[in-house]
Amino acid sequence: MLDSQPGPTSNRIKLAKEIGLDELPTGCGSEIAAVRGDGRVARELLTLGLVPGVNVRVLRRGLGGDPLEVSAGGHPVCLRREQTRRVRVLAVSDPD
Amino acid sequence: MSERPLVAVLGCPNTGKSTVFNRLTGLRQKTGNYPGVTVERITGIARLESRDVQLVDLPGTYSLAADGPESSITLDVVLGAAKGLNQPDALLLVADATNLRRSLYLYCQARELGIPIAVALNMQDVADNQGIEIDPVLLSGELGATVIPMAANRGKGIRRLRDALAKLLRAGAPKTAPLMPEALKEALELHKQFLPEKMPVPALERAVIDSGGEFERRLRETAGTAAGTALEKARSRAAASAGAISLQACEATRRYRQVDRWLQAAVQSQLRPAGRAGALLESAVTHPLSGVLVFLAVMSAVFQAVFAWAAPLMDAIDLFFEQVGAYALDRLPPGALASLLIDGLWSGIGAVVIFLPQIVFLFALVLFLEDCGYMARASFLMDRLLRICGLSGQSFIPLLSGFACAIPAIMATRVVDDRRARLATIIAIPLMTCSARLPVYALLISGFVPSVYYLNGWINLHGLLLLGLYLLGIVGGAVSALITRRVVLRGPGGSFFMEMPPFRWPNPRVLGLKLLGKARIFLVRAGTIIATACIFIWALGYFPRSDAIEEDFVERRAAIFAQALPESATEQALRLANAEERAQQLEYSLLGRIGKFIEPAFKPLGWDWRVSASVVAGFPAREVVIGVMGTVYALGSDVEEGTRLRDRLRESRWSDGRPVFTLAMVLGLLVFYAFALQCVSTVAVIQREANSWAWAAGALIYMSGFAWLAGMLTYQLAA
Repeated sequence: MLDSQPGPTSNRIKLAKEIGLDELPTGCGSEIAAVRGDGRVARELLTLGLVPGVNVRVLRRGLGGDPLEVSAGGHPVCLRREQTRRVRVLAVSDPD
Repeated sequence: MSERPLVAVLGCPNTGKSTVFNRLTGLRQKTGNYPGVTVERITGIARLESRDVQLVDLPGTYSLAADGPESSITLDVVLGAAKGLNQPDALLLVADATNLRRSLYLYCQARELGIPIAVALNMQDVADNQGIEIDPVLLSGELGATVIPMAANRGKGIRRLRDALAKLLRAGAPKTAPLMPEALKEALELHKQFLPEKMPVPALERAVIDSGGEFERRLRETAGTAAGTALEKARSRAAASAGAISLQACEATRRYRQVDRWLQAAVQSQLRPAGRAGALLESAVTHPLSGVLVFLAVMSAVFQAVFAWAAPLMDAIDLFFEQVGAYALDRLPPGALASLLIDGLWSGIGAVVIFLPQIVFLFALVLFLEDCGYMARASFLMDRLLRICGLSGQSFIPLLSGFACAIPAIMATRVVDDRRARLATIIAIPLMTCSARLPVYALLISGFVPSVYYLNGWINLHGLLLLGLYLLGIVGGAVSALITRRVVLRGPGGSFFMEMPPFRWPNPRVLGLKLLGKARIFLVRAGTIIATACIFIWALGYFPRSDAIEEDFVERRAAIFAQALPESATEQALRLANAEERAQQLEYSLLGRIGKFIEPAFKPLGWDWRVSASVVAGFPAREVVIGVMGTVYALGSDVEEGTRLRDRLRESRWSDGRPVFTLAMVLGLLVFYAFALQCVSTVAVIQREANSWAWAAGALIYMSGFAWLAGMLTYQLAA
């Protein structure tokens, strides 16, 4: 979708396509691109070390895929899906 | 007193902060509450070198940022804005060596406050085992603060920590360049402009950075709308000069970059992966399928153990109180005093102590599962399920504890981060079948429900009914929680974060101390209220006394002696007469009158005045109902023969000769007991934990009404 208009920056955009952390399959890792929002939820995520540029990995999921245990910078923490949705990570390869 | 220097102990949750605090202060502690919030304020005295120092144990936090009056306690205390505490002269930051990154984030914020600070590097032993090598000297140099490696739960490093704190109190605060100079500049500006009371510059800095946070709210509240507008402008100016869209993202990025530099310089990690067995265990307990199976197996084992093991002990305690009471009653001069001492006080104490075995067993198992790391995994697995009813995975342990006793369980809800989910948990807990309901269930089920066996004798109707009552409580709890969240406390779910502790063998000493604490909470908090209630109920059932009845029985006893029967027959006849006198006096007493007065209200449930009076008597503490029934039905002190009470209940008739205790009425009574909030201590603890009388009263009215309705429906449908 994003690279339908080839231009000088299209290559970079394609590499930097973002998805929610909750969309990463269990066991997969990526790099945090951004944490959305400017309120309490975002603040808590940032405080826990989910900071842009840090490597994250989804370690496991609870019943029904929620909550998720993710490791940020090597330190694991359990979060709910609605929280992890705010964390945008780089989709290294196209999900298709 | 006030001359003692104050040291504030802060740190992230689960860093062993309280263990360090306990090691430093020992028994010289004082527990209270911060005004207006349900956060425990724990202070203590520690001896450093040759002088006493006051310590305050702050609630665990990851950051100085605050989103409510509860999470702002840390910064308030540190800035000297908390009532009753001076500004600390030094800070002790307890860091978790296995999770240093998050602890150092907090350090990175705290070191800018201009107060001398030392770092206790706790759980050094665990970190060693995990292959995390931290060089304390290098780290100390990097941080610009003393770093004391320690293993507080084994008492290692405490002496060095004492020395370091003593030295720290003599030293001045280090100068630190702020990491958020843009925000600091704006905070200084705001301070000059508005001079808000009780808002020092660091608090204003938080207001600038944390949009929508507690300190912003406070500034708007104390300094008005002008301050609010100024704050918004200050925030966008600071963001622009920092070159960031969001100041809080900018803060986290800068601080974590700083933390990573420190870590790089002082920490060498060669993380040892968990062994094969450990990895297998991990995947088994959190896998969607095997995890649920393990969960069900663990829960059934816990319940089995609690009920099978506690029974003989409870019987022994029962017998002891019975025998001692009877022995003493024989030797005391008859009258009101003897009755108060034995029937009121002694059996009141007995009513409390008898639940101790079950509570101790259940909590021993719950604490074991918690400390070994299983509970966190079960909460993680079950979170989604619990959220359907508006609860949280963190509600799981409190709910489970509710099967022993609601009082410590409600106090355990402090682990639930989200306020709404916490209140819903508090409302759901009293509906879990606590151990005090069991004697009532046992008496009624074994007495009035036919013992039918199914499947070649494998399954008994009694057991099925008991299981049904447990499930009824669980469903009732789920529905109540749901109503609480959907109707009373509508709104989005709050924050949730949990750190999964590693699997490990619990330290028996720590486990024992925690268990002792739980038992003490039950005995002190519940025990005093239950015992007082028992005495109150005794008085209701004892006064006023009728002289006519007394005289009547004096005559009757004289008649028995006059018959000159054999000794055993005389004794038997006397016992019977005594019991009957007590029953008649009770009918004459306030309690009997209350029972008769409210009989119409409980007629739809099929209760006569005797049952009504017993239930009223059991209102402050449901377990006393059996004792009262024993008196009402003229069994005197022979209640230990449960079969006799059962027989008496069976014989009980309405005035037109219909039996009172029909199957339908008993089922209704059981359902009533499953839902009714018949426990004063629970009401008191709800008030304390929810910090509101409205919640306590609401829970009481709601559950009593619901119990009445459900009991009535059951009776009417079954009749």
